Amino acid sequence: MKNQWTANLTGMVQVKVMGLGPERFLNECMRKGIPLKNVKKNGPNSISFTIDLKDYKRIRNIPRKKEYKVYFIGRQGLPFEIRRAWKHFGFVIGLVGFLVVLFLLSNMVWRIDVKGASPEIEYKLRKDLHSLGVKTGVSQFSLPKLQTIQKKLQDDNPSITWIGVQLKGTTFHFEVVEKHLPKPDRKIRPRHIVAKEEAVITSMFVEKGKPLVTTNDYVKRGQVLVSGIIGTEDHPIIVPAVGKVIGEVWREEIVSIPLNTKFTVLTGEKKKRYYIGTSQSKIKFWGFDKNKYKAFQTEDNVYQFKFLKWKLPIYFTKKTIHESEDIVRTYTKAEAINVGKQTGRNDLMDKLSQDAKILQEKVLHESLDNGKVNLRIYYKVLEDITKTKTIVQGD
Amino acid sequence: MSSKMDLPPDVLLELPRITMLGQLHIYIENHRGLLVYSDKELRLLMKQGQLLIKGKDFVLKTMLPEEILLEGEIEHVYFINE
Repeated sequence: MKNQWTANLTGMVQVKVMGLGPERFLNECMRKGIPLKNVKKNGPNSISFTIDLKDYKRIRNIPRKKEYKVYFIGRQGLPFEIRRAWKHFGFVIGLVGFLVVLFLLSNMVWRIDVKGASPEIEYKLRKDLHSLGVKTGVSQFSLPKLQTIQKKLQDDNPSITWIGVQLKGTTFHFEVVEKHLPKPDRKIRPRHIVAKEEAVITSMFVEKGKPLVTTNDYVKRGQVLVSGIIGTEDHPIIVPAVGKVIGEVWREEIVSIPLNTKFTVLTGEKKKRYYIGTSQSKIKFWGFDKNKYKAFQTEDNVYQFKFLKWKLPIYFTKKTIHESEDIVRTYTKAEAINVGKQTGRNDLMDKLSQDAKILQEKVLHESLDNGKVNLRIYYKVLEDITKTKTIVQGD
Repeated sequence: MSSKMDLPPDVLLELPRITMLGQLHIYIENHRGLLVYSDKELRLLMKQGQLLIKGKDFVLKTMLPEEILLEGEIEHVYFINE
C-alpha cells in the first residue's frame, strides 16, 4: 500500500462517476490495474474516488459508456501547487529579489554623520574615513572594527579629545569632542625669569626686564636671570619679564641594550577562512586547505548580519591565519653600543623641547653583564633654560 | 492435494484470503470483481461464488486489481455458493 505522503508529492485527482451501475467503471479500472483510493458511494447512482495523477491518462482511455458519466472534480498535491505557484512566478521572483536586495542594502553604509566637529575637523575626519574605506555605498563586511576606526581617527587627529563611533543600522555616527585649548592669558602678571637647570649661558635675548647675568655665566637652578623689577631703587617698577635664555646644560642617560632579542614576526603568508553560523556554533564554508604553518597567529573578524534595523542571529566570521616566525636579533658589542647611543639620543630628545640641540655626547661608562650592554652617556645640550616666577606683591 | 504438496491453499486454489481487524477493517485478496457497492454492503465476485459483506459507513480505502481494503463497521460476512 502506498503512503499518503508520497501520494501527496506525486499528486492526486478526485473522480466522480455518475449514472447507472457505476460499479462497472470500478471493475474496468481494476482490470486496467489502476489503484483506487477512498472509494465512497454518495448515492445510488454516484461514486467518488481518488486516483494517482500518473493514472489520469489511463483512466481517460477507458471507453465511456452511455449509462454513466465520469467527472474530474478535484486535484491536490504538490504538482498542482507548483503549477499554481508558477502562475505567480513573476510575483515570487519579485518578492525574493526584493528581500535579497533589502538584505544587501541593510548591510551597507548609507550615511556618515559627524557631530560636534568644526567644519575643518569634519572635513579632515571625512577624508580620513574615506581612506579607511568608510564611505557611503560600501558593504559593512569590508570595514575594519569600530574600535580600530576609533583608535585610528583619534591617533591621526591630535586636536580631538575623544571620538565616539557608533554604527546604527546603516548609518555611522561619529561624535567628536574637540580639544579646547585655553586661550593664552593676555595679561601677564609681573614675574622674574629664573634658571630651570644648572647651565652655562650661551646667548640671551631680553625683551622686557633687567638682565642679571651675561653670556658665559654659570648659573644654578632657580637663579634669577632676568629681573622683573626695573627702575631705580627708590622708584621700582614691577613688570613681567620676557626673554629667552639659551644655555649649555649637562644631561645624563642610562641605556641598556640586550644582545639577543627574541621577536615574533609575521612572514606575510596568510590563509583565510570564512565561517557562517550562530553565536554558539559556526560552519566553515570557504578555505578548506590545510593549515601547514608551524607557528601562526589567528585573527577573527566577526560580522553580524542585519535585516533592516534588526540584527539577525547569523554571524559571518572571517578568520585570517598569519604565519609567524620567531627570529632572534643578535648584536655584537660594538653594534649594541651604537644602538644604545641612538636610543639614548632619542630618549633625551623626548624629554627636551623641540628646539633643543645636542652639542656633544660621550659614553662615560659601558659594561656588559647578563647579556646586556649598559651605557651611561653624557650629553651637552643647548636648550632654553628659562622658567618664570611670579613676583608676589609686597615682597 | 494442497496439504500433500505443502503449498498454501489460497495460491493453489485461488481462494479468497480475508483478513479482518475487529469490525474496523476487512482486507480481501484474490477477488474477481466488484458487483455491488454501497455504504451498507459490498458484494464481490470470487472464483467460485460470491462474498457479501454487510455493515455501516463503508469506504473502500484502496482498490487494487486483486485486493480490496474496506473500512467501516462490519456486521456480517456471507459466502454465497450457487
